[in-house]
Amino acid sequence: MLSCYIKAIGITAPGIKNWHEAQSIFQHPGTHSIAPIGKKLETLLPANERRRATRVTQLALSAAQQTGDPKQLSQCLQIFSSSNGDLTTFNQISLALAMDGRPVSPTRFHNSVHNAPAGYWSIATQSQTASTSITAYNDSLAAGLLEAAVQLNSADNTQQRDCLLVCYDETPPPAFLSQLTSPLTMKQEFACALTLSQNSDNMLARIDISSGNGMEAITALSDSSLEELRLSNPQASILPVLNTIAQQKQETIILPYFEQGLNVQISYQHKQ
Amino acid sequence: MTTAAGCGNQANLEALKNATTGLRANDFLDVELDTWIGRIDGIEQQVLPDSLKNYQCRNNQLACLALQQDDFQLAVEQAKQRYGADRLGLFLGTSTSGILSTELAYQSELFKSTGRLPDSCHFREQHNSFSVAEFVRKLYQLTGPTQVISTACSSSAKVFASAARYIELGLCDAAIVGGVDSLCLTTLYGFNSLELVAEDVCRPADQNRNGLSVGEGAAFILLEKAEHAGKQRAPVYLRGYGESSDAYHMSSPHPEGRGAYQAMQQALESAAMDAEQIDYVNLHGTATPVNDQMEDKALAQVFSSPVACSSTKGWTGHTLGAAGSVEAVYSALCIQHNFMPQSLNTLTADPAFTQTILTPASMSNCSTSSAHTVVSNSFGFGGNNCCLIFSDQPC
Repeated sequence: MLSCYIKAIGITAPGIKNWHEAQSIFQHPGTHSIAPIGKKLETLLPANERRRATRVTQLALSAAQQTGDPKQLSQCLQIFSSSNGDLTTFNQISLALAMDGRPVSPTRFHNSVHNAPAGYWSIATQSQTASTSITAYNDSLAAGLLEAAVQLNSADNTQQRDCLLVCYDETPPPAFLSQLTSPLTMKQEFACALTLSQNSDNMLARIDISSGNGMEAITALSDSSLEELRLSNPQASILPVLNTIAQQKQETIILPYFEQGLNVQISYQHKQ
Repeated sequence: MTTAAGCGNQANLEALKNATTGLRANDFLDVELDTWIGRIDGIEQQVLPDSLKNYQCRNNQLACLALQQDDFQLAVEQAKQRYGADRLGLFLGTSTSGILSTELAYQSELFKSTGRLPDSCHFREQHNSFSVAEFVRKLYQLTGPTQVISTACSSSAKVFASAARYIELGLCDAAIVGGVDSLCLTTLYGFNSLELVAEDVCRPADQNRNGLSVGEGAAFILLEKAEHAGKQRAPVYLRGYGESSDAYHMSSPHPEGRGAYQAMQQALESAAMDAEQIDYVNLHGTATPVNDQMEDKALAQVFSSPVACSSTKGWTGHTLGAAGSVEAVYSALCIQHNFMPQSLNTLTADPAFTQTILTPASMSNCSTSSAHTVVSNSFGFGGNNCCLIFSDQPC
């Protein structure tokens, strides 16, 4: 069992602009509707970097920057998790490579790496801590949560740093859409961020993470609009966790994680 | 392990000792770039099992080829029996995965005329960065914690740190770690667009170095708790690791090696070692003017007296997301066979450098050449740094 405390939550999702709005939506069933996320997002990026940063980077950073002040966030360990990375950039580069002379843009090339959002984030916040970008395809949300809890609890975290977890995926360009239908249809863009800590001061919730037994169903949501959103992006599988915290309930959420699933037990007690 | 320098550890060891490069003048597909590459022969002939045929792509074919070397499959089967399939973690690094499949699909007549990808294109199984881990997981029917770390050229160094933490906290008892990256158009044309590709073979740490040679490679390592090492012949220990961010630029390292220094310093702290205990540094050493210079500056901050160092990219080219694991295995070979490789293709070491670059001339003057403790550096785009320390002695 790995334990940690959620200190702050950021969310940029269709029909949910931030944690404040999310709390109200979760507390009032039937009030959510899926509406496109606006074009302009707050990212903390200086203007020159912002011009180069693609949508998926801006999406990730918009959730990340909600979770604290930049100076404090710059001290956190950084975990970024995404199922597919920058599909728009893959599409653009592949189109360029099919043209005469294969004119790949240097900016697109550096944007194509899976850790591009993490790189932009470290520049935006001047964060020099360890930064880890991972994927586990549709199980990337749980894998990210597990990696974050592991980094927090490891003996190598000698400075007892907090950890920023950012999970994000964009909607695919048309060419990839037919490829990304099973078991989830990538219909919506979605980003969420959590700051996690071993320190319980001002916590929103305590989570205890353990491997599932593979027998229990993945936790769903009863609100139809939120459930539709949950199934529209791999990172949206965080929604039941946020729902439970918004309603201050104690329960165990099962997240998709390979055959076994990942159990996230939510409570509000401080460590003894 | 498989690189352009050879299939399997023995072939790579001989190449290192005989100073025979795996680089060749670019002959990859229809790529018309005037450069040298570390292409591996025989990848295209690899056929994946029928049940996994959707995973067929250059990256997974390379993984398949590498897994057949060095009795690694046997080691996996034994580890599965010893620990159980659910207690064996899988942590792999890749940068571009099987993106080549998508690139080629976009060049098909079908895509050009209809915008539809051919039926042979399977994004999840080929292009997605998790593809190689899903492939290996299914191939060996593993059910333990699994993830791909994709942080460009530090990817498969960081898997060691991640797996070590999972083992430390009891989430798995042992882990398969490694890295696989294969040639594709994105990296060849991408590095070319950044003017980072050399026309000649790459010449790490050379005064006239002018860029990297893109390579491909795959390395897999079974990481177990130190107490199981007694059963191994000449065990090599992961003594420490350090991870940091430059927070400077997406595609250029910090000019003073700020993040590289931090990663090395952290690795030494985690190993509870002084810099003086390091015998040899396997450099990131890409042979771009900026990388090699900043790495030397970072080393100068860590080592009060010059340390013996070389880059092995003169043999393999820059294997990108595989470099961390490939060079970890090279470091292990140096420790097991007690030697330090020269900096292949380096004609004249950069006179501005402060450290001891192992050129043939400097090596003949070198009184000691034993490598008991080795540092391996990996630095990637996004300013992502990882340093690993390996030794023939446990903590």
